[in-house]
Amino acid sequence: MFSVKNITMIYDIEKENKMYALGGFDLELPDTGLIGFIGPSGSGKSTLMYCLSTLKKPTAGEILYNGKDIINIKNSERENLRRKEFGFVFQRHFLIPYMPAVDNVVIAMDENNTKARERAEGLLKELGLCGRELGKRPSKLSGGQRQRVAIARAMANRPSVLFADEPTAALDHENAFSVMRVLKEYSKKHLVLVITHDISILKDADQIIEMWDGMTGAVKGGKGN
Amino acid sequence: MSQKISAFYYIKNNKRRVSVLVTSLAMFSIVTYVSMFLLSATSETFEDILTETSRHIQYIQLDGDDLEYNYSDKQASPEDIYNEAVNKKYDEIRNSLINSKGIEDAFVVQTEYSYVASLVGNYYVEIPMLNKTDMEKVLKHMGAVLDSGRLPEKAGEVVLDSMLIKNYGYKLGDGLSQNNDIKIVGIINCGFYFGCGMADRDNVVFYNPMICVLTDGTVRDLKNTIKKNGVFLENSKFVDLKDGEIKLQDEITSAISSSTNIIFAGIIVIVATLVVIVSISYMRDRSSEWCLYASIGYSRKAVYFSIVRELLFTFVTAFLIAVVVVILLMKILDILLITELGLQCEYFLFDTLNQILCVYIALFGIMQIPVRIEIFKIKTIDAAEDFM
Repeated sequence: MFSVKNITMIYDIEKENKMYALGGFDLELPDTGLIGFIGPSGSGKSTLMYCLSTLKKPTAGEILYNGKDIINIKNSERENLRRKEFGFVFQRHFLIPYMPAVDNVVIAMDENNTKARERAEGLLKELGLCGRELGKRPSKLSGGQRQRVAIARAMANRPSVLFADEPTAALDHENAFSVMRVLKEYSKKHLVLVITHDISILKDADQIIEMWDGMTGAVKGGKGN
Repeated sequence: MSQKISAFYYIKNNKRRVSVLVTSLAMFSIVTYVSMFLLSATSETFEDILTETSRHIQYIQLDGDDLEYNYSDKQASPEDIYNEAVNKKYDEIRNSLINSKGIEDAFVVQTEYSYVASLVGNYYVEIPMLNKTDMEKVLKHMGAVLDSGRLPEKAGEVVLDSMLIKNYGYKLGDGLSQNNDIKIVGIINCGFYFGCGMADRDNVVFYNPMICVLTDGTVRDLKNTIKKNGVFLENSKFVDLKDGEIKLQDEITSAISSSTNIIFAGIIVIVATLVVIVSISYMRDRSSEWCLYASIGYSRKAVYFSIVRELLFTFVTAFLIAVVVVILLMKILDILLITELGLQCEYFLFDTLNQILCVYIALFGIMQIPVRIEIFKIKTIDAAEDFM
């Protein structure tokens, strides 16, 4: 699905001390499965994900998505990709504070009608929110519930690729595994890319990619390998 | 992207914040319009006195030079001989006037005055005093209908329009504000700040003698009108429609417009300050949200139009609320204050409405500047720092 060639991301490019967030490497990602990215802070995991998801433009290199370059595309095409093909679970949940949980999901959908609302409610229920929680604002939900809403929002348009940047960082173990179960289930028919520091949550990953100083390191088969 | 970002997401969930802007805008409209409405009670009342009444009844205060009366003769003659000479001259002029186009009749009158107080300032209206026959002609010409009391039957009695009665707080039997010897014996309704009474020219030495001219509504410049008929009164003072229009402009409209400009400018400063404060907090609160929208596939254009829709809703709501409140306030003020004081007012103030709408458009335009700046600052969510 993704074919990455010589991807390079340099911050402070105009300064003398350039910072290489991505040091120029190649990467191939399958159409489905749960792929984990693991590595220390500053290793380039989030930058890679933002580049893959078109949120950031790499300094150099090529990213092909289904064979098509997604770096130098028109804004409308980029918006369409973000809308229809990609879903995002950010490090912080980034929910809109004044909207109830269900509206936070509906806002990401293609339509805003009864059907969309029902689907949003269904997604939230599948993720373990129920009844009055659907109408609560993020400030009234627990950390785990907020992250589930963020996941529901990411899945709202049934994206082909779901990017999850530290989706369990703010969660206790029980909630973290619960979220990972949802992502694993989703990865059966879609590609799910998960960034984490915590290797234990990647026990069901199909592939684990280690990152160090802006470069990919070892690639493990996952499932405890 | 087929879904638009609904303006109601923000409005529905941020009623308190939106209401600050709605209230600011509505208050601006209400205060401005109601202030102008109250000032209209002055301008409309004085317009009625200075122009509307002058379309039907005008006055000439003759100058000694036009009377062709030698001042040294007055010194030399006994007073009654002087009065007789003056009265004779007045009658000659009156007779030559009544043939002029647009003039229905003319009478030599003694003039009394009554006082009309508006909410801002006051003015005087002429009360012509005539003989009974002429008085009845004048009352008929002005469309006066007796409401209560009776018509004057002897010299020194007057009838006044109900608006004058209400304005000054007269009662039947009271004396006129400017001359307590003139008694009010009846109340008429004619729709003008008007009154007239009886004087006995044979027994009363006229003071403030004037020629009262009844016109058909077409005479604006009485001096020129009578000149065409060969009556030349170059030095006399004319209380006609032209004179009324000049006085209205010089003494009322320009004075009021200074006040209105000050009121308007003050309100604009307050509203603009409020709008700036609200805008800054609005932008600060929402820039991260807009970054999120960009991250999940909304274009800048979609985000911008959602903001425009929110602002439009806010402005339209403020305007509609203001319309309802203004109509209610005007009605209440009219019943409790303006009608009680016998004043005139105008509900539909086109210029004020125009000014308010211009301010709305200007504020809407000004608010586009920070919005556009923020829109161009939109990045993706990784750029957002303070998001819940």
